[in-house]
Amino acid sequence: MNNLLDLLSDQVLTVTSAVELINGVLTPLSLAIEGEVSGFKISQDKFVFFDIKDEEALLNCFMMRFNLPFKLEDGMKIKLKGYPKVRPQSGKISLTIQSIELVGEGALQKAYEELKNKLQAEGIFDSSHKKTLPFMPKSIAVITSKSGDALQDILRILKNRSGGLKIYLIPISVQGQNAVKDICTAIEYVNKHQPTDLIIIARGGGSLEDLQAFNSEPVVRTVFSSRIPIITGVGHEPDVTLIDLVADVRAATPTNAAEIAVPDYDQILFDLDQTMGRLKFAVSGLIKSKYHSLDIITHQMRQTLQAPARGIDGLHRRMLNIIQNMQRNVWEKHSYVESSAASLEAINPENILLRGYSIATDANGKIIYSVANVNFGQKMITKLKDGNIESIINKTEQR
Amino acid sequence: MKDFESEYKELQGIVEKLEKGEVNLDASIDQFKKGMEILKSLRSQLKKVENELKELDVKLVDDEL
Repeated sequence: MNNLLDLLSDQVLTVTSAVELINGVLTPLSLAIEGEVSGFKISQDKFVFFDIKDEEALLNCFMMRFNLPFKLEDGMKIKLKGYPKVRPQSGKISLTIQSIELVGEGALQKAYEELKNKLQAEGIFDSSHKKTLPFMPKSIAVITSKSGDALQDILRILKNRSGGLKIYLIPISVQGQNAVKDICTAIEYVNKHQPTDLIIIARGGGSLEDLQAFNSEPVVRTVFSSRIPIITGVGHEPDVTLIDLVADVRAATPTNAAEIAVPDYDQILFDLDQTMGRLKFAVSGLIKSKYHSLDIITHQMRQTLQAPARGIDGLHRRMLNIIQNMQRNVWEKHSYVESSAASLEAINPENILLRGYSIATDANGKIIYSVANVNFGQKMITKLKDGNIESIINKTEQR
Repeated sequence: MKDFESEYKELQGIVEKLEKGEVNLDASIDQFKKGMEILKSLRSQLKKVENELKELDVKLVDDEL
């Protein structure tokens, strides 16, 4: 620095390059500052100007209106992050604001209520805007903190209930200066570059201050404009954030969000078994009733044809043959139904395990068919409906 | 391939139609065959294979003012 200063002291600069030089030094300084708002104004509907001050000093601040996460008012306590810069036109130094948050529960509660009323009036929370969730998503984007319990809860539930899912984790900061931008960028990124069937946005519980990002206007509007359905699991039951109100489905907790996201595969398999039973029963019933009516016809014909002369004996026989063929045809259909249902049951090895049977394999997963296939001391894996048992063989007995 | 939900609904439709007995015998066998095929396809989609987890590095570029 000193060398640079020495070098510069002899140099005559234009004003423009002097400002450029000063800004080169100032703009890398990213400062976090807490203070009170004064002189707030919006110009041309695009630019926001205000001062941040304490008892002794103040700094001019500048930001774009679309970056303003809530309504600012003079006297509000805020925490902001920004870098100083000399404005070439005025020669004044002002802070360019990168992010801004409210300080203090009272102010937060007020801002929350105001924003909620405003968005409600716009109809953003209306149920007519809610998108339907896919019944069985194949891909899910999870937007949450990488280190929080929320992520572990979600992954555990998805693992227990489903299989073969593609899960995309987008790590974000769930609170602090970067949270709003992180959440918005993540939602936009998924919509644009990694369109999954569903998005889960989650974080654990916290104070109104902790949950601030989830109550911010840019986040609410980004969720609203997502083409992909969004489930939120933010905080715990009593915390209702604005992101919850705009989401397509609001879950009480991150765990609950995962439960809503995917159906329970075991439950569906059970339903499918029930459905197969109904299918079989319905068709068998139909076949049996046809068979029964053929029986009645046969019986009636026998009675009708018993008495008359021998001349119609031939006709009698032919009629009976026809009926017998029809009966055979019907029974063939019946056994087809039985056997195809049985073979479908047979191809589902899970069913066997569910009934209490198990499958024994060697260490390589090869099924053990006979005691002759195994040796003393060999490892054996027993597969049950809910897991595997590993054991060592110490005795075999031929039956 | 049709998605799980529409196949599942189709299967429910077949079962309900058969239960009401609205179809004749030959058609009901066809419907039964179709139902069995759908069942097989649905089951194959429910295989409990591992979920695949991928972390996306979303570059958070500062908005230039």
